[in-house]
Amino acid sequence: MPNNKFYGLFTIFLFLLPVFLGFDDYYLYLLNMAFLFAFLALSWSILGYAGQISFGHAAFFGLGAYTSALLSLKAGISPWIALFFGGVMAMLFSSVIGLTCFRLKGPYFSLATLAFVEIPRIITLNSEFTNGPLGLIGIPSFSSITISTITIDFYASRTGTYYVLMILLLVLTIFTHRMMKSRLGFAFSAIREGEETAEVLGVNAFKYKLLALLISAFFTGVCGALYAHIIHYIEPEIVYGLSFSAIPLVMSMFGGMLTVIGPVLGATILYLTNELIFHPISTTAHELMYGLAIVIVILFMPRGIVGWLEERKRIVYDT
Amino acid sequence: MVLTQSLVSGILLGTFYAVIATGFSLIFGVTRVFNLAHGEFVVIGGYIGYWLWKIYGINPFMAIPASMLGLVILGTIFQRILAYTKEPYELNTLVLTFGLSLFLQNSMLALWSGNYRVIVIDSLEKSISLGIVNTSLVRILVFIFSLSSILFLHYLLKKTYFGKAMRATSQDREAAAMTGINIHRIDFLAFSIGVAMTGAAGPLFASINYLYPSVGIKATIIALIVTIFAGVGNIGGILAGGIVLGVGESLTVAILGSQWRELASSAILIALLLMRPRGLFEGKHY
Repeated sequence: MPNNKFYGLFTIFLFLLPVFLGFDDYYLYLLNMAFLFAFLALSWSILGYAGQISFGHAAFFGLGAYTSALLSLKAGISPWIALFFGGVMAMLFSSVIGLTCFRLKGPYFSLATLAFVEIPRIITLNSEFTNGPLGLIGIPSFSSITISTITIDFYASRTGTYYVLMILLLVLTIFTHRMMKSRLGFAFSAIREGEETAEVLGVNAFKYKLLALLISAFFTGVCGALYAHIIHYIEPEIVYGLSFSAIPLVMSMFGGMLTVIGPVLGATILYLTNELIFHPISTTAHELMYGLAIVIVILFMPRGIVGWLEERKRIVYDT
Repeated sequence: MVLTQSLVSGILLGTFYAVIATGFSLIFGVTRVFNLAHGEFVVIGGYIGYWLWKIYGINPFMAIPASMLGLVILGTIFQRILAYTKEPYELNTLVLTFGLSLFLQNSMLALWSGNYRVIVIDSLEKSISLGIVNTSLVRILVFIFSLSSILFLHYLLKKTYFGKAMRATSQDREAAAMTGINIHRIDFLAFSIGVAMTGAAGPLFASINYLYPSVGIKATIIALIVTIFAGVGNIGGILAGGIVLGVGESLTVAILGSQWRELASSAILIALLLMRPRGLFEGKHY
């Protein structure tokens, strides 16, 4: 993979990108959503590193979105702070899943996560407080920031949101990278490669799987909250929908599940291809591409794009 | 009164749930594929039944053979795709079928939009009184059909050569292969019978439920619950599981209201998974 210098230059490029695009609203929207999905995919992968496949991240996403939206709408809390509580709420719910379901192995854990999404979804649908199936509208944007004479407004322009999302994604990427190089990351890999072996070596599998789930759920909740304040509108069938469980899985696997850069790359490529090529063809059913992508990955590129690139490089070196 | 009513409608519905689950259970038991696209198969069968009724006025019970045929063709394509899956097999097929269910769901959305549809035939909607409880003719017919197809499958598995070979394969693949059973042919057969049963459930599903592209997940969860309840491989267990689920749902609807039905079934699924932490291959087999 490219070295640190490359990533540094790429970050500078991302900082300047809105200028190159002439602050065009549509392109900024596309990039913002791509960053959001990259954030989601990376959050999902944190659990993936510990070998656990979740089909239920929509639960965390929706809980984060609803918590943050309700706090800012009904209690008047600033979205910047509400965001954090969105993550905490998702983390609390994930601890319920973890404590009850981590004795299930492999596919059985995945099936349980599929069922767990229904709990917050049905409660939200039937609660007066959350406005039931109609959802919440008019969720406030992030409050504007004033630094000396410059005021960054998050409602009128998308440029501010672009930088916030970019920086958050950068922070999460660096955090994840550091984590994978730490004791925690090695524990996750050990559990993934063989839970029994890891246990024998003294790794408390339950504890580390729970940690992976909590971290993953927290960031997914934050991501849901970001979505709520950027889109301004949420409803249960969307934020708890199958899409938000499936899309991070598809994007991470497509990019390369066991790497840090893979999910980010997969999310960006898939989202942009989907929006620019498939969305114009069919506005209702463009998500079928995500279904196709996962089939292709499982059958032909089990290690995703990153794995495929590495293999190609090896072939070049070998010959 | 309410109790008897929901008991009876639960039993009628539960028998149909058992039909939804048999295909799933058979495929999982023999080939170890957790087919998360199972619900979408049911929905596709439902659409076949719906369009045959809408365009040609064909009764949903008469549409069953067409739906079975359509699903067997689709299932065969599905099996070709699954054949390329690498280890870890259970997890990979799970992710793969999850992707395929997303694909099928969106294809149906593109083809037929997200409108709610249902087969309504006036002569079949007629209310029927069984002593103190009321139900409709179509539900009775679905019950009779469901029960007879489950009994037929039971006979197939217990008495015929292929049925015995299938049970042997689900118990131990290597040992079955050593006794001269062609396990690849058995895989194919089990998969085909499984999807054919699913196809049979489709038009019936459309005549007692609303049909829309994303309804498949409900059928998948039903199949999962019943399969996990029964463990792999006993038809009697599947029938019992279906009825327990049907009655459980009816009671939830009667006591708490219909909006909590899905929550009840999810809670049942989680509870059942926790009761069998080591998976489904303990105890009885086909």
